[in-house]
Amino acid sequence: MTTIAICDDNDRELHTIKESVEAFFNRESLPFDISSFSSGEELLADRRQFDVYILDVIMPPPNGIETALSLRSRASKGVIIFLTSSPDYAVESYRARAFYYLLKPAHEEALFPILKEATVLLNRKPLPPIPVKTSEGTIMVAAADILYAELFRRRVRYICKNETIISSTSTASFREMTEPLRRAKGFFPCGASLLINLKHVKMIRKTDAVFFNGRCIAVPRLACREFFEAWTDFWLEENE
Amino acid sequence: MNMTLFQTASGVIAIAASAVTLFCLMKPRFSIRRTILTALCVLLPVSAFTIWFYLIFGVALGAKFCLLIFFLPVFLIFFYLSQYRDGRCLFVYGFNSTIAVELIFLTNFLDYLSKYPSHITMFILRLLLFPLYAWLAVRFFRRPLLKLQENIDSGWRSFSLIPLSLLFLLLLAYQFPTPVTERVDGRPAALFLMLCIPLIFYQTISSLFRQLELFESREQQSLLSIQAASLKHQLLQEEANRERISIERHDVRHRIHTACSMLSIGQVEEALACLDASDKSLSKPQGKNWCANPVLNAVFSYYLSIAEDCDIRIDATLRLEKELTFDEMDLSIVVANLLENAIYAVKMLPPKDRIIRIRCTDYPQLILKISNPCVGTIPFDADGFPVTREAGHGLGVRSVFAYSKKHGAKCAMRVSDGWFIASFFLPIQN
Repeated sequence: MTTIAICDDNDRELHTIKESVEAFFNRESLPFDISSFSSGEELLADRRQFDVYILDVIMPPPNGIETALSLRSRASKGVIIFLTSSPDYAVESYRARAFYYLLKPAHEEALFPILKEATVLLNRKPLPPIPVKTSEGTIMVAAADILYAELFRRRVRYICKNETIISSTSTASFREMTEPLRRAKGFFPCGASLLINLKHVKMIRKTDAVFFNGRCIAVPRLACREFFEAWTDFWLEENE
Repeated sequence: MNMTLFQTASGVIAIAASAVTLFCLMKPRFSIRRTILTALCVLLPVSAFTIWFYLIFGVALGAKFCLLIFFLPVFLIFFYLSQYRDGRCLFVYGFNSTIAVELIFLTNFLDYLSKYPSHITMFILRLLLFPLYAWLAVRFFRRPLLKLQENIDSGWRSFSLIPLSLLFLLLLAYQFPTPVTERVDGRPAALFLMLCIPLIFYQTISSLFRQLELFESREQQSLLSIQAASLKHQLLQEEANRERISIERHDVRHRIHTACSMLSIGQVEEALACLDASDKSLSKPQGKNWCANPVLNAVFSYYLSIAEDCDIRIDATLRLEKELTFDEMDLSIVVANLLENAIYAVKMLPPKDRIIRIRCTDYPQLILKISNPCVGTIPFDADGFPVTREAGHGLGVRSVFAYSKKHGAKCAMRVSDGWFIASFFLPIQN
């Protein structure tokens, strides 16, 4: 079920938006639960995490952007849609990693495609865990937790973000073993024996990829340029 | 004439110190490890052969053939390993060789004058002077010489004629037809030349430095003019906004009065239409804000308004915080240069193809990507930057490169599917 929080200090507009959102979820036959709030303060007082936040920007303090920033500081990962009569805050809204900035009056033709995109994003399935044959039997490794996979002493080993190292005992080739990861977004092959998860790369220092947990790995010199381009493209796309 | 042990050792010192100094003054195109290994693979046999030649055929014949048996192979390997395979390479090689030869001749001459047996004077002098030269060259010349080579890419061939002709003159004056130790009449000219060489080099390097200072001050000036132009543009926009707001305020007051009058005589529909018109006019955008950071917004606004004046469509998503953890003033020159290049390139295209895409984020680091359509092939140099033959162009790219080097940033440019793409990354979080 998709949980939605709508926050607007104007009762009439709050009601209109609520009706539009209900109409969308009914049309799509998706289960939903809407909660309405008349101020940012009221929304912040509610400790629940919502999937979608629809916030008016111009409200008595805290305004919509401040409310969104507070939600983000609580590690709320919900989709934020700003709804406002003024375009002046569009740039500011980036700070709260807003999904969309929509000008009022929000007609259904404008709102519905955005809600559709938001629901697609919410329903995006995380990468399934991959089975790895080890000396202790086959274990499932969460692909999202893998920093990189490398060929080490003719075996594939996976280095995870909590610093665990999982060594495969399979004799299959590196390419074969990492095929499911190669198909996933964000995994970049650096040469024939290294596959890096770009999502965990915090920066590039000379020819090293530096991960968020502080670990470093040298990228083969010939792959440096392509790796740099893939990494910049990945983060620009993620933050768009 | 057979060589003594001290004479052989003196030769080894001269060869080793001048070769090490030469490679210290070079910007290699390969990794340090590969450069050292390749240089050693060539220099060791060449040096061994040279010493063997001197030992077998004597100093007089060795001196006559040293250009062929030592200087030429060293130059070839230096040329192969150097990043700059043009006049810069010739200049550095000529500079180092001339100084080394001058030191060789000087120690040789002083040894001759000292009259000590077994060439011990020459050995001691070389043991002192060559390491001193190597130290001075690495300590004082290396960095400025590399900086000069990096920033100035023309005029080196003519400059290289100075050390090369000095080297030739020195060899001629000291060695031909016989060494000056054997002919008194040739000494004044040879010694005068040896005295002049350091002065000529001092003047040459100083003049190159003045060029570099000029280049840097021009760069600084361009940064200041960019900042001044952006701020002026921003001020004009602010002024226009203030004027618009005061007109708006006047209009809103007028519309409210009109709506009140309408409501007082019962014209509800007309009053609502009047208020709706007022609402729509208030919602009109007032000058575009591209990003939250005021300095970068000023730069983007300035350049993107120029782009829009050239009928260039802009597709920009700039996710930048208001407060950034680095000096955005400095970064503005990178943004300005990349945008200027993109506008210049896109202006040449038919109006329907004129578009510039800009993406920027400050998470996890500052990443900027500017893409524009391009036609034809664009050659890239060894550093991965586009090569331009047009006068006055290409300085912007060099400036971006200089900024990247100074701040540990990285910039890559490429052409993909008819788009020229410049990606820039600046580490802002450790």
